Parts: sequence; C-alpha cells; structure tokens
Amino acid sequence: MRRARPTLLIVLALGVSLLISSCNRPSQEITLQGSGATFPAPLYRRWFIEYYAAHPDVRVNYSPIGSGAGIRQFTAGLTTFGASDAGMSQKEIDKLPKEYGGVRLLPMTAGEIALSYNLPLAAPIHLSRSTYVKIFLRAITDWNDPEIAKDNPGVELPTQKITVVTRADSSGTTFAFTTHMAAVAKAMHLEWPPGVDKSVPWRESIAAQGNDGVAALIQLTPGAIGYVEYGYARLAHLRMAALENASHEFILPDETGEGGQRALEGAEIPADLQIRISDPTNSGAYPIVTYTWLLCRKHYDDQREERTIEAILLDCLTDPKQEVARQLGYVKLPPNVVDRLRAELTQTVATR
Amino acid sequence: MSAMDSTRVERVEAEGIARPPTSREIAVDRCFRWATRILAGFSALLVALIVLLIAKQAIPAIRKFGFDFVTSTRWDAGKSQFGILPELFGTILSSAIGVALATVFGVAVAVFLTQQFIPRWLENLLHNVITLLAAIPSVVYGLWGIFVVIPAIRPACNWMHAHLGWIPIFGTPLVSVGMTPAGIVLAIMILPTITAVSRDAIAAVDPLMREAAFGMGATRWETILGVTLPASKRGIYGSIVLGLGRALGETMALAMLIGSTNVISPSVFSPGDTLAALLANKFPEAATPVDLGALMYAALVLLILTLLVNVAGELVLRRDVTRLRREEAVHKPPKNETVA
Amino acid sequence: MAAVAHPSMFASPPTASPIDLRQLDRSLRRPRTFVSYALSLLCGLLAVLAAVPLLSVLLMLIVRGGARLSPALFTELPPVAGVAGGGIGNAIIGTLLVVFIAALISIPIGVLCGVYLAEINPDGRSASVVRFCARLLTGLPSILAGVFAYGTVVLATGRFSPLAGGIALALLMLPLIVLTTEEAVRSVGEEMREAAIGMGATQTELVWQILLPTAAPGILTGILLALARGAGETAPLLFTMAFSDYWLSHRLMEPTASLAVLIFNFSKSPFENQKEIAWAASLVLVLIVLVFTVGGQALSRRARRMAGARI
Repeated sequence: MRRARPTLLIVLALGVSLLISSCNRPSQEITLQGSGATFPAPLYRRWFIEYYAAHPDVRVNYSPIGSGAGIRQFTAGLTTFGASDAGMSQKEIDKLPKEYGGVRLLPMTAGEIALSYNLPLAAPIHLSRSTYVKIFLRAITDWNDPEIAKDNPGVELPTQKITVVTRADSSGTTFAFTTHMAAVAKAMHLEWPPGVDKSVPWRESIAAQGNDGVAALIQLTPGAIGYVEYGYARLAHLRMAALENASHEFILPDETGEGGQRALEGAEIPADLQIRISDPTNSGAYPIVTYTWLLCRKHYDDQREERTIEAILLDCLTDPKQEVARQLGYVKLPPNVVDRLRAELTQTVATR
Repeated sequence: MSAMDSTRVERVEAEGIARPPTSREIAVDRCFRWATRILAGFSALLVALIVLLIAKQAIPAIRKFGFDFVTSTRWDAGKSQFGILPELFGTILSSAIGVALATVFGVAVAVFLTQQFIPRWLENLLHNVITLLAAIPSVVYGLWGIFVVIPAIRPACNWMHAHLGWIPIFGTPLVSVGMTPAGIVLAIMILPTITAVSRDAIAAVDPLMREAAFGMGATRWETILGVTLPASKRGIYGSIVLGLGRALGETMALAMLIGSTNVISPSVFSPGDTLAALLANKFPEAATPVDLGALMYAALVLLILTLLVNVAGELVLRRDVTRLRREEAVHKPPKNETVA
Repeated sequence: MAAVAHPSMFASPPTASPIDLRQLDRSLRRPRTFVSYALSLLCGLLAVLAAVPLLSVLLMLIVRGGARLSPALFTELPPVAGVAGGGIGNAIIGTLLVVFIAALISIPIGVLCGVYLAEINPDGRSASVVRFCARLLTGLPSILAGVFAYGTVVLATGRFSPLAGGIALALLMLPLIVLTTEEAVRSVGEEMREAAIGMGATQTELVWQILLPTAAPGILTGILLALARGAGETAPLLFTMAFSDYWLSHRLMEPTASLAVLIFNFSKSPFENQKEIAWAASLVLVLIVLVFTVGGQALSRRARRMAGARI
C-alpha cells in the first residue's frame, strides 16, 4: 500500500494539471444555460454554437430534457431560459417568481409531424382525414381495409395487421399530434377518447421513447404506423404518408418545407404569442404543424445577461439562421411572425 | 526487487515482534472504529434521507389514490388517474427472466473461470472482458437489443407462438419489442455483476477444502457441487442480490426494449412496462405536484419491492445457514480434543 | 461438511484395506466420472453461450465505434446537427472529472462501511440495518439518484455542476463497494486474523495491514464494477450535470459535458455524424474503463505481494 502512493500522487497530479490546462479563461466570458424541449434541440445547439464561433465570449448551453422539466428548472431559477413544445399554461405562468416580471414566450421555430409507416410499397400511401383518425382509434386495424383502399385507388395493399406505434415518454410532439387529431375528429363528428395531452392513454399500441425510438420501432415492425417529427423521419429514411388537409388536398411533407410554411401563413398571432394551428385551412398546407417556444424572463437581474440573450435571439431570426432551420428539417418562420418577434425583442431594449 | 523485499522483511521483523499495543495505538484504534461506525451510520442515514425525500413528494398522490394506486391499471395524466399494476407486473416478470438467465449463466461462467478448466491467463483475460461489459452504457445495450437481439430471436419466438400458442405464456407473437428481448438484454447487463462477484466468492474458498475433497476421491463436479459452491453460497447470493437490484432499477435500456404498453399479459412475448421505465418516460414532462407525486409514489413502490425481495432472500439464506450449522455440529469432531 | 474426514478411518489398521485402485479409475463407463465429464461439458457450453452475446456487444462497439477513432476525436468539441467532423474531448475530461469526484466520495465511505460490516461489528443490529440499507440502495433506479442530487445539491447551489453529478453517481456506486468489500474482508482466512491479534495488533492495524491488503482483489472488483457503472450512467447526470458543448470552464461549478450524456443524446439523433460519434464515444468509454481495470489490478497485486512480505 505504502509504495503505491507515489503512483497515485502522480496520477492525481496529472489529472489536476490536465484540468487546469483545459480551462481557458477569457475575462469577459458569459455562460447562459437553457433547458427544455427535445424537438428543437438540434437547431438551438447549432444556432448557439454558431453564435459562439462569432462571439467566443458567449457560451450558451442547451440541455434537451423535456418541456416539463425545462419549465420546472426555469421556474426554479436554474436556467436563463427554458423551452417548451406546448407553450406554457396560465397555471404554469402563475407559478413563476415575481422578480421575473412575467415571461416572454417566443415561437422560435416550427415543425411538421409526419405519419410514417412500414409497408413494402413504392409510392407513398394517401390517408384521408377520417382514415388516419380511425387508424389511431383502432377502428381500422388492417392495411387492406376498404377505407384505406378507397384513398389509394389502384394500389395493392398487403393483407397485414396495423401496429400503431406511439411515444412512451411525454412529449410536445404527442401534444401537437393529439391537438390536431382532436380537431379533425371534431370536424368529422368522431369521438376522440384519448384526449389532448403530452402523453395520452392510447388503445392497443406499442410505445417507444423519443422520436428515435418510434423511428426504430417502425423500421423494426412490419405493418407499423406512427407519428414522428418530419426532420427525423426524413433523416431516418422512413416512408411518410400524404395526408388530406382541411381543404381536401393530399399533401406530403417534403424538404422544401412548403406545406408547413403554407400552414403557418396567415395564422392569428395572439398577444402572448402562443400561436396554435390545430387544423390549418390554407390551400396546400400540411395538416400537422406546430410551433415550439423559447421562454425568457421579462426582467433579468443581470443586465448583461438580458442584453446577451436578446442579441442571440435576434441573431437567430436572421435569414441565414432561418435557412439553417429549413436545412435541418424545421419550418421557416413566416415573415409576419419574424417581424412580430423582432419588435418584441427590440422593444424591450428600446424602452430601457 | 528481491533485495528490496528482504530489507523490508528485516524491518518488519525488527518492529513487528509480538507486544501489546501501546496506548497511542489503542487511541488510534478507537478513533478508527468510531470513524467506520459513523460512516456506516451515515450511509444508513443517506438511504433514509432518499426514502424521505421521495416519500415527501409522494404524499399528495398517496393521499389521493391510497392503495388503489397499486391495483389500478390505468395511467392517464390528463384525467389524473394513476395506477401501476401493469408496471409492477412487468418489473417483476422482466427482472425474473433476466435474473434467472443471468444466474444460470453467470454462476456457470464463474465456475468455469475458477476451477482450472482453462489456463490462468485466459481466465484473467475473460474476467477483465466481463468487467468491461459493466461499463457499456445502458443506451448501447438498448440499441444492441433493437438491432441484434430482436431480429435474432424473433423467428424462434414466433415459431413457439405458432406451435405452442395454446400455452398462455406463448400466447402472443413477438411483434418486436416485448418482455423476452427486455429480459434477455437485462440478463446480459447484469451478467458482469453476477459473474465478477460470484467468481471472487468461489475463488476465495480455501483450496484445502477442495484438495481434501479430491483426496477423498471426489470427482471434479462432486467437489464443485458438494464443497465449493456450498462454501461460497453467501457470496453467490450477494452477487444475485446486486444483479437483481440492478435489474429492478434499470431504466434506459428497458425503456427502449419493453414497449411501454399498459397491459398485463401472461405471454412472455407481449410488450409491457416497468416502473423504472415509467419514471424515465414520464418524469421529464411531469408538470403538476400530483403528476410528480404519482411518479414518486411509483418509485416508492419500486423501493418497497426491492426491500421485499431482499428480505425474502435473507430469510432463505438464514434458513440455509442454520441448517448447515446444525449439520456441521453433527459431523464435526469436538474441537477442544484435538487441541488437547 | 463433506470434506471432513471421519475419525474412524484412522482407527482401522493400514493392512486391512489397501487402496482400492479402482477408485482412481477415470473411465467414462463409470457413472460418476461420466456425470462429471457431462457437467464439465455443460458448464463449458453455458460459458460459451454466455460469451456469444458478450462478444457480440463488444464486436458491435468495435466495428461501429472504431471507424471514427482518430486524434481529432480526442481534441475537438462535439459536432452540432448537420455539421461534419468533431470529437468528444470535453466529454472525456468531464467524465474523468465526475467519476473522480464520485470515487472520492464513494470509495472511502464504501470501503470503511464494508469493513464495519465485516469486521468491526459484523453481527450487531446496527450492522444489519446498514447492510439492509446498502442492499436497498442497489435497487435505486438510477434516475432517482439524479432526482435526489437535483433536489439537494442542484437546488441548494442553484446550478448544475460536476459536484452534483458526482454525488448522484456516488449514490449508485456506494452499495456496490460496501457489499463487495464486506464479502471480500469476510473471506480472509480466520487464521490470519488470529495470528495478527495474537501478535498484539489492534483491530485498526489488523484492518489496514492484513485484511485490506489481503482482500484487495475482491474490494477492487467491487470498486472497478462501481467505477465502470458510474462512468456509463446517464440518467443521474441529465438533471445534475446537464451537458455543455464547450470546453470545461475555469469556473468548475458549471454544466459539464460527459461521455454518457453525449452518447445518450447523440444516439437519439437522426444525424449520421452524431450517431457515429456516439458509437466512438461508447468505445472510448469502454477503453477508459479498461485502463482503470488493468491499472487497478496491477495495484492490487502489488498490495497483496507487499502484505505477503510483511507477514
């Protein structure tokens, strides 16, 4: 034992010196911490690291731990900003500490949700509004069901059971998806027993964690169908269904993000910026689209922190940064939303 | 090397002559014993603290749902209805599959690595490889389960369903995720723990005992089964406890492989859910104190389950040990006589 | 037990029963021998069967992770979405740091706790309470260790830090170390204890100079298993240490990257580059543990040899 000690000391010394040498210490360094929704995480991190490349003294961290945990940590004052796929409810806003002076909900980006399936068919299948609702209600359980056949004339549908794949974890994706399904079901005069929430009790489904889990499970299970964020489905090379929108067109989500942009256009912007698009009626709109929000305090004790975060977010609204969003599979913000956000961010700077 | 050792031996001899401890040594001894006592108490306190913290957060849910929580099968945060019977069932079934497989294989490997079946260097090499496996992150095991295990076992499982489907445990086909893949991956994950710890226990058996058994003409396996394994029973049991604990609490890999479905099915191919996976899935988005309380209540149930399993194991072991002692008392020649 | 010779054997005159040479006959036709061989075969078969999945995991890791092994992997920051290249430099440092903190907390407490259970007060009521608590702790889902450290350390300090992560990991490592240490110390031969006490050693000297060095390999198994588990755990770090896309800051109490969280995040990513990095990171993690294992075993052999020299 006694002779082992020098070795141990050397190892210790090495470790400590490694630590010290790895620390850089610019004087003006500022670190901002954010956490929340997993859906926009790849985009946020890309934006923040690009900002860091241009401003090496500003380090913004983002932990994708889920919207609920993000709101909790934001409320507890652990993070500079939060992020949520479902916005914030009045109850959650009421719980925020007084010194925040309220919360600013900023819809920084949006995304489409695709219905992906595992069938050996060359062309994408078409699903009408009543059909895809009934599939998730388990009213349609076979791929060669007459209703699916009616949507796909001339396509030879396989004799196979439908396996519905859902999200096991609570997620903003499920929230957006069920919001849309409930709206469609209402329009079609159908019951929607699962309800609208971040996690709902599905009938007879297998569930997986995260978009990646759902994607893997769809690929693994012949005859499966499930809902996945578009960017994910595209990169995972999943087959996606063309869905019927409120103006009875079948729209396929694609790389241009056009269907999604159409869906966002002309939507009413409420004062709190919680823009909801449960069932877009525009022509050419892809039906399942959702915004995702970044949560900021209205007032920060640290002036520098406040100025930095505003500068970063304004930078994210510029055209090149929005183009990055499109490349990664998100939907570009429509010009009126960008203008509104810019006004929101500069207005507070101006008033001071 | 040898020169250094010999000087050391001399020095030790010079100062190490038997003598009663000095008062300073006694003081040090007392301090040390107190230190261990305090640390032991500290760890117990820590566990109490954890349980208290969880229980405190669980109180709203305990008040609201009471015992129905354990018997209800519905988990619907939207309607504030919470029940964990399917998760409880899934936790027990998947851990049982995992621990059963891992015990059989783990103890076999431990015997294989200690009873001179293969050269010493190979034993060491294999032992190290197995320890390494403990370091592989759960996520990797999960991915391995999805990409390797499920495709590999699906044909066999579905054949069993097709031909033996009338037996309830093969009652459903293996769609993809389910209890069986989860149990198998769980077994692989806890195999390193069971193997490494029981290997140490078996290796620690006094070689004299084995030699005596061989000397009396026992075959290798009569020695292993009659002498070595019974003598290392405590350690093997300890290894199973550690493995079982890990199986009950394993989160990430199971969340990927179990299918997270709220059903209770006797079929081992059916998807299900476990308590730890439920925690991992619902915790990040739990918003209200009742949601959070329900999750903490589930965690508390999981801890109680661990506790019950441990108590049961302890009782079985204690019964065995008393029986062993009684037998020893019958067979052993009285000790004092040989000394006299 | 079975191996204890019965006194009556010695009583009989040596000429009366010469050694029955057939007893030593090891023909397969004799059922005892046959059973023994069959069991050996079965045991070997089980070992091989167990090795297949283990090797399959390792192989998958090496094939998929090996492709990205390069110097850049160790010196660069993690890649963000849609960007090529990148490495895991900050995550390696973060993992070493957090495991070091966790080891600093859990090893002294765990080993001394194990010594208490095995030697100081093995049969007392307080020992059985502690033992029980340790066993209970083995079943603690890793995410709850994170919840606990979040509820205590993170909320108290108001920030995510390696310290909070280290405490969460220490909780998971502690029971493994306590229980294996107890087992290892217990299995040291009784005659060594008696000899030491006979020489006038106090219990402290007995523990430090005889029991711990002799039991070192067993204790080390526990510590290595614990370190390995700690290094690979994700759930406790998610809420306590979070993650960072940057190098470790000079202010240590900040969110810090770790291999486990990186692997967790990137393996869920749809981006091919990030997935590859996740595999490479898994391989690096295993290699780091390999270095610890080999180093630790060398240390324990040395401790044992020196204990032998002292006796």
